Amino acid sequence: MIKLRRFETYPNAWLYAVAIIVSLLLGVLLATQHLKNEPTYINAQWLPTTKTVPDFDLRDQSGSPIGSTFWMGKWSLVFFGFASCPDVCPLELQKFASVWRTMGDQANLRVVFVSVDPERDSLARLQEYVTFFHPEMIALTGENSTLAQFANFFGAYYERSVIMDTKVVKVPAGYDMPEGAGDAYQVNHAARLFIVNPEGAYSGSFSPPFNVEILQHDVRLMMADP
Amino acid sequence: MWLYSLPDPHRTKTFFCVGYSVLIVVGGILSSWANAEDDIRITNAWVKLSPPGARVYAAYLDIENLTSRDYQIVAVSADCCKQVSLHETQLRDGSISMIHREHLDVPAQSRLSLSPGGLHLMLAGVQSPLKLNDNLIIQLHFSDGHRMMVQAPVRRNGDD
Repeated sequence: MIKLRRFETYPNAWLYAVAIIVSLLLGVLLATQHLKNEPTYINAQWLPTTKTVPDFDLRDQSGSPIGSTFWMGKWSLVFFGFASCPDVCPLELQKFASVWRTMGDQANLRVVFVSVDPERDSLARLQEYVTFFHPEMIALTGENSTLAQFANFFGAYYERSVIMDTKVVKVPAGYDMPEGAGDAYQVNHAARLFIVNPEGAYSGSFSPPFNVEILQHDVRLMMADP
Repeated sequence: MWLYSLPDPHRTKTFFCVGYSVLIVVGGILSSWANAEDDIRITNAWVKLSPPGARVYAAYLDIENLTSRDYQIVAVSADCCKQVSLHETQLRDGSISMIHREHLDVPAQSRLSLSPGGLHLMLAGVQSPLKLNDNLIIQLHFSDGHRMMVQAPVRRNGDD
């Protein structure tokens, strides 16, 4: 009787009890989340779902076609550019190579440079070019049409422009350079660094401006992620 | 002949007027000349060592204009190469492009920095590939006709 009377005094007692328990549980949950202090990515952006890289008829700097297993078993950092770029390409490739080195030249990490300028970038030239940054760096090249499809897969824009008869001629991705274009033309290209995971799927990217310490932090985290 | 008639007060006045005018004009020319040489300072000039396959190089430097005149660089030449262009790397919408600049303005009392990832000199058509520690002579041509020369060593990085 007494109990009943007390219960009647506080008609919302059950509600209060539930509220207190829920708050406590929430508190514990938030505290554990906070205490775990999960490291987060600073620059890397991840795709909602990964995209398996299909087969493309590309060749490496030694002229060997890349097989269907090329992307498997390693994290690949993929950068688009061209060898006649004096300022920004060497600057960025130097940074990527430095990240690679400080990761202890790990066997399951590599940097892949994709030349979108096959007319000027011969295999011999690419070989010399990438070795300058890192002995294991890979250069990829191919037909203009294949390169355009490959870049499009990553959503990587590029185009070339040349001055002919005092007019600027834009040569979109996939097209060969016109006759008489000479070899003093410009290439505008995507500045992102794309990530292909060891399952051979495009999974995310880093965006410029690139900072070696931040890249190291994110790459370490990415490679530690199960 | 008129020097002999200096005592004439009118002649004397004319003589001094002309004399001072000449002095002012010559002095002005000389001082502006001296200013251009002394008060435009070019520092930290260097050329980035490119990978062997690249065949083009980027050069960087700082220009400080301490004068009260605006200057403009209209052309650049170098002893190593057929062609030197004024370029600017631009990052826009996640894409890198190279903008060709016809000239570079160096306003009075200002400093202009050509540095990696931005404004730079593009050296093309090298006679032979540049090597680490090579020293190039770069010549800047200003719109008023005068030129300045600067020595630029080939380095891997600016802070080497």
